[in-house]
Amino acid sequence: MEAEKAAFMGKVTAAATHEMKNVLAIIKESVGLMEDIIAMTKDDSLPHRDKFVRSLARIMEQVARGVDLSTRLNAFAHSSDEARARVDLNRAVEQSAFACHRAARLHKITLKPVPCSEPVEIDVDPMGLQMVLFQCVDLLMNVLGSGSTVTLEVSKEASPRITIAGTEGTSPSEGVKSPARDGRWETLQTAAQGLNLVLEEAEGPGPGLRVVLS
Amino acid sequence: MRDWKVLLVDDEEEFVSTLAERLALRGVEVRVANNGKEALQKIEDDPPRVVVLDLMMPGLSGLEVLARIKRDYPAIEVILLTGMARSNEAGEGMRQGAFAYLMKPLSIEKLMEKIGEAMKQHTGKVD
Repeated sequence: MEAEKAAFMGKVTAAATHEMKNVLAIIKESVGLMEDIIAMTKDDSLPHRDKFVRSLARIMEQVARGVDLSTRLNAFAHSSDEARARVDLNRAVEQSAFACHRAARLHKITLKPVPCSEPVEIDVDPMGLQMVLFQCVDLLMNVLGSGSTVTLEVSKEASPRITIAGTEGTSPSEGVKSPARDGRWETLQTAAQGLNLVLEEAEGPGPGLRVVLS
Repeated sequence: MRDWKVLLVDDEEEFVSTLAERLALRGVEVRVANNGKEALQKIEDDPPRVVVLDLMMPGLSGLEVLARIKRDYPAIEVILLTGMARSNEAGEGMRQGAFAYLMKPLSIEKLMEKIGEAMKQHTGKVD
């Protein structure tokens, strides 16, 4: 039932992102037409020309932002299409950074995906993997102060892995705790095991977690 | 005026009418259709050189319209419009003989460039 719910949400979200793109396309063409007309109008015949041009450029920037958001949201929605699929971890960390973007902004934390130089593919439940990554980042953000950076680094050593590590910002609110002391740690480890992933604390100067394909 | 005869096909009326105005400002002779059936009728009445065709339409889908154009008017070049980059339909459309596909929202410069290239290809076929 849970998988069906996820698939349902994915389908609805994917369809909505298509509609959003159509809305953005209409706004873009309408602004584009205004820009075309302004470009054809003599400089002295249009009062406040510069203000119009600046405002239209601002709308175009926001359209581009909206297109980027809906494209990423569409890719995210499609992660529930199949219960098991070939997933490139480089794309998975990009998607995860997108999914955690707003929470990171609220925590004033920077998210930095660090892809591997080559594709690192595994067979996994794509939505399950995203859930584990999201919760790992969330655990780390809860123990880091504002101004910190969380990196999601993909590597291909003995087995494919994602290392999620935090670098403390300049003014931590309190001493840094281990993310493994969070009450959600055991539940998260169980969820990872269900996906044939191993979740462990990563060694390093700051707090970190590692997701490894078992 | 360019010698570019283009048919724009999209069920989003506001999108297609505004895009048509922008192309007309650039000297393109442009007509619009809001569904596949209307598009095929307009092609039969007066074949364009290039069709810019949305893939996701109610009724006849973009792929069905493309298949009929390629069967009955093989010299007409078709540029597909798709909402998403990894769309399976766009790949299928290219296999069926589409000239190119572009992502919505469009860049007008990119669309003009692709129409120009498609016009050259069309001219090569009919000469």
